[in-house]
Amino acid sequence: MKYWSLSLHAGLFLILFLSLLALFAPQLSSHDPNFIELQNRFSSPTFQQPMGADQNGRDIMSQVLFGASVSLTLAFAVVIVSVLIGLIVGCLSGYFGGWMDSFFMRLVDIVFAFPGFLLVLTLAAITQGGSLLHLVFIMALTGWAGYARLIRGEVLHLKHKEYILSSEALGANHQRKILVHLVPNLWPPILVHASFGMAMTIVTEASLSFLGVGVPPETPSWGSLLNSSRHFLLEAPYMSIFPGLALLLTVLAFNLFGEGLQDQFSAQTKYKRIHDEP
Amino acid sequence: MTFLLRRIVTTLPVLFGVVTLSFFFIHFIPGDPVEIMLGDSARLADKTQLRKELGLDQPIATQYLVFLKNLSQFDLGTSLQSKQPVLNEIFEKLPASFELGLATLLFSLVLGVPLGVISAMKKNGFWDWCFSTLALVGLSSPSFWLAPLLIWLFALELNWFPVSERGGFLHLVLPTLTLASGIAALFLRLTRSSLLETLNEDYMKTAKAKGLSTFQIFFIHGLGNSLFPLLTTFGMVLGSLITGTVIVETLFDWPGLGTLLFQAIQNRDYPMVQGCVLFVSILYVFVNALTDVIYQLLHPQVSVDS
Repeated sequence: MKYWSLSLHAGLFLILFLSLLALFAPQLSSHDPNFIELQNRFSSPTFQQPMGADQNGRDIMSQVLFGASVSLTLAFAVVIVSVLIGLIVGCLSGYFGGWMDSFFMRLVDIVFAFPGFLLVLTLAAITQGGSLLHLVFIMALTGWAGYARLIRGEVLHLKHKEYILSSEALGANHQRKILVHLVPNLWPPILVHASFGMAMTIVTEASLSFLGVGVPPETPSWGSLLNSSRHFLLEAPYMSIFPGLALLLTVLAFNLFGEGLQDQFSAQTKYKRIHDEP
Repeated sequence: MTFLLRRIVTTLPVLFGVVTLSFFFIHFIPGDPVEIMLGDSARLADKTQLRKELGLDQPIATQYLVFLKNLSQFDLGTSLQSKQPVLNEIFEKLPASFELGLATLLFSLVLGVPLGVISAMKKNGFWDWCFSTLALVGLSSPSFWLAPLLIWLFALELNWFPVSERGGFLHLVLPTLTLASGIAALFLRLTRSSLLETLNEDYMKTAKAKGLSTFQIFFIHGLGNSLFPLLTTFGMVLGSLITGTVIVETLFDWPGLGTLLFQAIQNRDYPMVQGCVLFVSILYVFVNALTDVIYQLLHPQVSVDS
């Protein structure tokens, strides 16, 4: 069986490439992203400024590069926090069941009852003026529920497997069974979900910043770039094109990677099934 | 019938949670909400007045009970900006959002389903590859990027469609295209995967063995059975429609709920924000429950527990 998939590798390559760009944004950008140079307003893309300059003469490429690091860091933080909360809640719910399960799953239902973006938008708007950390907190507040539900389902499925039963027979306590035997086997579905989660979080952050309730005003962000550029569509269409392309490419990368992983894992399970069962 | 009853019973705590969470929104505001709504320079008398109007001078338990009581009488409070009842304004804007949402759904179905069928028929072929790529790009392109590009190309350069606002059919085209890009892509993929799954079923082989024409096999036995799962994703579609609407309406100055919410956010008109979120969320909960019920009615053999 062929374990090679185009989308997985293309996605991984793009993610690594974009992460490097984001990591070395200060070295790669020729200008300070917030440096205002009014005589340079709306200058079209040139060799020195491949993406042109905005309405205040700021270099767009520098803003896009710094925006990448903001966007990726923020999304990564949100996904990590959401996965951790989801892991704790999901394991407790799935493993112990009973009232804990009912309580947590009703909580998940309530989070899911809101159209996700609306909740984030409202929370971000009414607590406006916060820091990046604050934005992470708000997005994780709605993000954890998906992981919790997914992980609970996996735990329910895994906890009756023979290796868990045999570890119990060997005298393993709850803590050991969960941390040593269950959690390591939960990674494949979490990784797939987290990859799609990165894509979604990046779009959410950009949407919030686009609507003016996302990252603080001085922070370069693709969303706020796209918001300011839409007023100058006729004079400077390139102002919209480049930040949007960066966003599209990043979201595409994580979607590709997630899909590739999903295919790979399902292929492996099928392969195992064929070979394990006579 | 028991299923219907059970679905209603399970919806109630969720609804209660939604209402409670919405109530606390105004208390999430760091600092003094009244000061934030009125600005720093507001007079003390005005602040006291507003605090009284919003009931913020009462103990929180009383506030909550009053909130529940008003809600049971369909009273979502009064907008700070327009001094109109929140619910009236929502109903005023609802038709515009409904029009846009319906147009998007129809267009996405008309575009997504046939392309999904072609993809499944020509699995791993050239067209399948083209459409799958297109769908991935459609799903990944943010509406606030797509919309400016569409406006620039079709409204400003080519002058085919108006730039913004609600009006005749032509006004509907660009916002619908923007909103539909993601949803049509979703329909395309779902149709494709669902049809491919159906094609492997035994009854499809039977249909073929009976000597039915390819048309009959594909469109009557195949498509009929594979469009069914599309219904289960309706909640997801509605969610992305609501999300998209806020941004797309803002971009196109579409006088719907999304614009109403966004303006309320900008004006710090918190009773309005709270009302909009509550209204949309309750609607969302109901539509999701309704989808489940319809699915169950159409497909009784699907077990409730699964």
